[in-house]
Amino acid sequence: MGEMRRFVPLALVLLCATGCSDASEPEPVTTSATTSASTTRDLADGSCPTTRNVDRSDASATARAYASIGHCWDSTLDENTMTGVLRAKDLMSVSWYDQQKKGSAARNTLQAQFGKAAKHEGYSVPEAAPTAGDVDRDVAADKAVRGITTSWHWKTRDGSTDIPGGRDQQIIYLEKHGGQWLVVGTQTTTTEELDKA
Amino acid sequence: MAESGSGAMGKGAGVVGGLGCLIVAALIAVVLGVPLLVAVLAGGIAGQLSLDESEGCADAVSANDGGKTINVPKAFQEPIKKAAKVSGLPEQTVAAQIKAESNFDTQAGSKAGAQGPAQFTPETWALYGQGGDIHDIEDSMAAYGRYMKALRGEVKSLAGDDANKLVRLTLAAYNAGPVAVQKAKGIPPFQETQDYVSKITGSAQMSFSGECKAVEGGKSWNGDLGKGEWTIPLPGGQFTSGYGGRNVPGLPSWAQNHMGVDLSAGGGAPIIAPMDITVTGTLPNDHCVMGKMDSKPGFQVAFCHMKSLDVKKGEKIKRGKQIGVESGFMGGNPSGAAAHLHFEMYRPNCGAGKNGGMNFPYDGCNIDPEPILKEKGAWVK
Repeated sequence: MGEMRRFVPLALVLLCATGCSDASEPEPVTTSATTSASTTRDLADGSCPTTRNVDRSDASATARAYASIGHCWDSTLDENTMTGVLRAKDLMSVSWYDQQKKGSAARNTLQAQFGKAAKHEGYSVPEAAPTAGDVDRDVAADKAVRGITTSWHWKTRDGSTDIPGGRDQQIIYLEKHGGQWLVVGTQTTTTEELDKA
Repeated sequence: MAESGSGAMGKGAGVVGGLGCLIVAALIAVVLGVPLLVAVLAGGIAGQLSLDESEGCADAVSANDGGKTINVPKAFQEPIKKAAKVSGLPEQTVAAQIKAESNFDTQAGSKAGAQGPAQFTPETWALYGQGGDIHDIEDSMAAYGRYMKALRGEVKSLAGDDANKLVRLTLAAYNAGPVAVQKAKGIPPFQETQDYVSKITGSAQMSFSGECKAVEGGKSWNGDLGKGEWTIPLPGGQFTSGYGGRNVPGLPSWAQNHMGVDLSAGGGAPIIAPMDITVTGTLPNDHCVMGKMDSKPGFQVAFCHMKSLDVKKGEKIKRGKQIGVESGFMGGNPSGAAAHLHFEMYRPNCGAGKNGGMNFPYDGCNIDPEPILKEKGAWVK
């Protein structure tokens, strides 16, 4: 144990000497052999919504599309929920996208759920809808806030019963530039998982 | 849930022609299979019983289990206790993390190569595992305790003496790395990390804390909430959106967050005083009734978007009595919003006496009502 105590700080020093941020960063999101083998697979069998055909003149439509795209995950391809969010790049401001990209290696908020879905090669099926209440606001002609509540479940590829997912509520901030609405920030106010142990 | 013995399910012997062989084979199957089947079922049921110590945190009220850690699988209870002590995190938070990482599955894995109940990658296990078994509950939880202690140490200076903040920053460091937390001087502006912290702290209270007592990291106010339970302000309502907080990193400066909680019963439902209050005023534009708790700690509260304003300043309203009716009155328009109750709470003795001592929405004194309503037994189902 004493040796381990000496070893651990030494290991950290050595790692820090070569790049401390790497030693202290979260579990790396690396591409494994398994991932390489599955990259020929269609993301969620082609079912994920895309940024094409989104009515960018409408703040509500843009917010809803952002939430839908961000909640569509393929457990056999995606490392974390952020992977879905980054697929909505065309709906995001440059700064918001860049900011989220920096966090792309974060640990998966739904790690256990992804793992369970992966056993059945599952992908999520999101349903996004406006949040009832007073979250929505038109702050200015070029600034808007929209509340979106998104539910999802996991569709399996191995024929087993679909897996419960969850629900969350997001406040989505948008700005209009060049006639098109862009997401410039979001905040999730609640996340509820529906799967039980 | 700890791994069950489901792989040991017995199978009948092969049947090779002849009725006699069939009968013998069937008998063998019964002799071998039934005990195994019973063992598997018993193990499964026992596992379930050990997990479901309480149906929900509120059900622990009668057992006087306020603050006790509940709903942890038996095999994890002592290791989680020890890990919490080593790491300096609340037991309920540790339990919420392990549930989120692996659902207490010792054989959990991930695409990134993480393994075991605490989802260590081989690289981090090499630093903290001390040669143990990554799938073993005791070994992995001990390593988890060491790892979280190290992360906590790296972000401690950012929290000052705010214990609630330290838990949140430690969770953020676990999710995004301590360097990211140090760069942001707080929870980094990554949606994944903010969601993670919110989810773990919420789950710690609602899934693993007896009587739904708020747990460090998820508290919106650190003082004594006062005696007795409260009543749900919108009986029959459902939660639709939560508290957005202020000064959230990464959001544009114009983003004024949603400073209360929204509950909806579809319109027309009675809005009820959660505790004894005195009306401090009304806001006609959004049909808000503002009130102050009569007993300590004297929170101020707001109930907005009512159909009409039927109470007056100075009026005393007892807990459980109706204040108004749920509607969508907002911005002077009876249909300005979908029907719901927007409920706010304010820190006691905040506002420096402005507005005659009445707090106002967005006056800088707002606190998140959700963990408080939950702890006081006044949350919607």
